[in-house]
Amino acid sequence: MVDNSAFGLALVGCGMFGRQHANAAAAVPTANLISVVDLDQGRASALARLTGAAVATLETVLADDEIEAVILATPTDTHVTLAQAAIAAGKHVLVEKPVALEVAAFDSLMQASAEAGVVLAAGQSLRFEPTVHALWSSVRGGVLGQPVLFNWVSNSSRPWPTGWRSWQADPTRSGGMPFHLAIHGLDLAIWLMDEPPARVYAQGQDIAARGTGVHDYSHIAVRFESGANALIEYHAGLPGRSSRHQEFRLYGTGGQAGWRLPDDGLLLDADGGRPFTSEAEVSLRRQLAHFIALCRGDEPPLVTPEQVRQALACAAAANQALATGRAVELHEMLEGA
Amino acid sequence: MANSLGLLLISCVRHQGTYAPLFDARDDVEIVAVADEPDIPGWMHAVNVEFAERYGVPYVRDVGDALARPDVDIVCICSEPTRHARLAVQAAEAGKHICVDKPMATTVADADRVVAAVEQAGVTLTYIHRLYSPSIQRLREAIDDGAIGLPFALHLSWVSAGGLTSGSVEDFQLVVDTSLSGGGELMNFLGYHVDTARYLTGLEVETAYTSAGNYFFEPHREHCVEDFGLVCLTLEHDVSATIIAGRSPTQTHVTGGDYGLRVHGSQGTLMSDETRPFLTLFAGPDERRSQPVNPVVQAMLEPVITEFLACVESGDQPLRTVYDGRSQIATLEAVYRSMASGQVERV
Repeated sequence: MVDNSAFGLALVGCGMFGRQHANAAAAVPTANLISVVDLDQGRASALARLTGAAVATLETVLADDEIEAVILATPTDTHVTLAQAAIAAGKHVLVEKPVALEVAAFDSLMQASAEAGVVLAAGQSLRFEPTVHALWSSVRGGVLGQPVLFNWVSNSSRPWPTGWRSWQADPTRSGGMPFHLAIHGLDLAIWLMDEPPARVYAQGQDIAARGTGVHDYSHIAVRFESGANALIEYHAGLPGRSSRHQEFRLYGTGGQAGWRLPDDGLLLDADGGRPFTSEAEVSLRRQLAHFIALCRGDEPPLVTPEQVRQALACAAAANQALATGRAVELHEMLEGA
Repeated sequence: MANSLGLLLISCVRHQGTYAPLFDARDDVEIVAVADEPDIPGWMHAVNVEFAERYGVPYVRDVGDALARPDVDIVCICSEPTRHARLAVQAAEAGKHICVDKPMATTVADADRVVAAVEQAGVTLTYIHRLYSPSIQRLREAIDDGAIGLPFALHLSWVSAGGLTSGSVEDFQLVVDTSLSGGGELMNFLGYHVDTARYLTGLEVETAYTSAGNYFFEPHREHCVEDFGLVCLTLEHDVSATIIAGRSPTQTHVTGGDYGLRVHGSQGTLMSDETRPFLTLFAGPDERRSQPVNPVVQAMLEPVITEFLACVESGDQPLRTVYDGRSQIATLEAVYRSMASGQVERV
């Protein structure tokens, strides 16, 4: 029996993605966004006015029995500490991607959540994107045979909002391109291939944030245990205010599938206003509904902890490859769960 | 036809069916003979005889004898790839100008012998390439125009769909038996990508990383050669190129394959797709067929032949020379080393 009663939520982090999570919560019937938290009171108040939620502090949220789960949409370097606090308070946690910057930190969070009997879920939201989900259904349905190569390309403009104040441009905070952006493509590849990654190679260019180790452009080549491959390309520095080019191709032993924006969709927003349009909101909405069902034991996790670990290990290996120019074997990073 | 050039077709086992008609269609070329080495398998002789009959010329079962004919000025070599270099050296030593199918050679050692022979004889050599494809030419024009600043990363897809029955492979042994082919589908196709990356950037390839395998085809599996894979190159100035290459079995592909290019530069990005625009035909109750609007093969190959003949007359260098052929195979050798080691290899 599916529980359709309201599920009390708090949102920590009211930046760009926090607002998208709040929009998603407003559209999910089972979700009840009770509180919003941000270090910036003005930002929290603005979102509270829009959503009807109350402005709160982390302490009051964690002490509030009405709140069953916390959505963390804060800068990546704060995820582990905040998630630990939420788990310790007995709250379920949906953590925006990437959950952590190290596999070991993710492992300790998983252990803590298991001991506390709460759900820790990773916001690897592209899995909920309708076209991507259709691709996955085709692969699982056997239409394309055994997947052999997955190519994911996501190129966009406006990479560094807030300029040098951007936490994304600080690799100690964001983990750089592999953790911050490419984690999405890595997650999709791992999900579609449904087997452990074995080797990672990456190349990149740090054009704007020169010398920081944060790459405007990078690509990551992943070889899986069966020999299947993924090629993940991210370029955050397309010219223009809202240029966007996204595509995937999947080659399988029984066929191939592909999709490309702007040709095959309407995501490109020509006035530069909102480069992430409805698809992101649809994904976050579906993700939140799934998360609530997960917390209530109504659905198994679509994103398994082992797959989250594998994506994090690939991102860490990609950073190592970017630094050394060498391919990295993954077995050591994936041991020790 | 006093001024026409006499063309000797040296071996017709691979792709001659595409190239010979392009020569034959010209007023300034006359096919004068077909030749091949005497000790090749009977089926190769049979193919050569067929071509000789088609063009009404003699079939000479000795390449040296044919090259000694006074009416031979130029040769078009379409043997299996592992004999390309030997036949090219022989033609150069006889003072003939050479158009050879790709790859020009299957080892760097062989390529060096061709370079030496061509330099020594002072003849013109070009090999079959795709750089006259309208999309590549336009990308190059845009780069030369400064439209995207300095290119820093490229992506090149070149995947032939339709399997081994698509009509482009005369006999699949020619692409899987390494004694004939010199390698698998990367040996067959990757030269196109390498050429394109070098041509668009003006930079040499420095390292190669490869993950490939035999995913699709039984003949490739039996011969332990790759049919498909992923290659990451670095060129000078840390410019990178990612490549998806090979042959896919998909029979119902919209446009017969994936031929896409992307060039990221400091001031912008260029993208092209050789198969677009394409015409979609709803031709029956269950059938949807598509075809590229532009006849790409004609548009690419005719200029190669035209330019080769002009260079023979003028002594100018063609767009692709013996040195480019050597660069291609040097990169391919690094690609194959990387496939074996799983690590980045220097060219």
